Amino acid sequence: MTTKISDSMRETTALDASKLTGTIPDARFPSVLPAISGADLTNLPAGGVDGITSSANATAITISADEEVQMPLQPCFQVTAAAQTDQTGDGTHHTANLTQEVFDVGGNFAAKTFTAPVTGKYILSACITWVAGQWGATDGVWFEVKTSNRSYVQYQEQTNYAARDMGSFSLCHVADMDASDTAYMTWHISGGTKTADHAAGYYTMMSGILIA
Amino acid sequence: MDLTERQLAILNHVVEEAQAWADNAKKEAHVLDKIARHEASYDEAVAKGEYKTRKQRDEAEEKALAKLKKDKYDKAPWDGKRRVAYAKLNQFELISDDAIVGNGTSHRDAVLAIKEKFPKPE
Repeated sequence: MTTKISDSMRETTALDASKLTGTIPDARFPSVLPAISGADLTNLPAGGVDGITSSANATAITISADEEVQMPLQPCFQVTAAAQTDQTGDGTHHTANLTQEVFDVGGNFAAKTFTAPVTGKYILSACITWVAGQWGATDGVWFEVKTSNRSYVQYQEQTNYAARDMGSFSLCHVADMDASDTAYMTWHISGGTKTADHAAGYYTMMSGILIA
Repeated sequence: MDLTERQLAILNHVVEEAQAWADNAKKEAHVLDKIARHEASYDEAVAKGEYKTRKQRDEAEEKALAKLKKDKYDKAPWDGKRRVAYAKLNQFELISDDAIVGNGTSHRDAVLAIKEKFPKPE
């Protein structure tokens, strides 16, 4: 069956579906449908698609031709320590001198402290290398990544460090942080004199990234 | 930012110094969001009784660690206690000082004092 469309019907904007009968020959369709350009898509929901909420004003996720997924603006930082003398040894809680930024995506690290830009789970990793700098009745070394919600601690007890005694701690945790929460490294040696330092450069550093 | 007593109490449930944290927050909304997020946890902890703030919980953990150390030391035998005391002596310094003097007794005296303090059982 064939149907002839009259000129008047070409202007039709509404059709009663129940009046439509018969078949349209497949030949009327092109063998290859035209490609759809995303640029021509309209009326997408303002908040994104199901399962994804977005307020982004720039590219937040990129996927390469080989399917590598990147989030180039994801909050992420790495910072190393600058030298500083006579930090602790007498129990002084010293904030690690993390002033040498390697990278700071989002600009959330300042004044030796990371400030969470959004509520979420952050991987925080840190390491410290310390030099006792004294011979004395020292009690031990305390190393801590201190976040607003929780502290992550490593501790070693030893008496009588020698002046050149060194040691290292490292830790890595998934931290629950709220927006505006802070994270920084602190350490102390107690029971002796204020002659202990942490090492500079990559011996003492901290990094973190928002993961969820 | 001015906070009510309840708001401060909720914040003190999770941070060490509520007002200082709030004063340092980048946005007022962050403060209110944090309070909303931890309110149920705070109420639950209070309802359980013997409530402690974050600061009090941290202090309690430090005391618990100190008590653990003390308990272990107290239970240690006489020779274990002597080892702890010997480790605090600068023994090579004492021995060499005695040798330089010729007939010094500083090392001997220090060791004897420790032996007397922690005697070997009969």
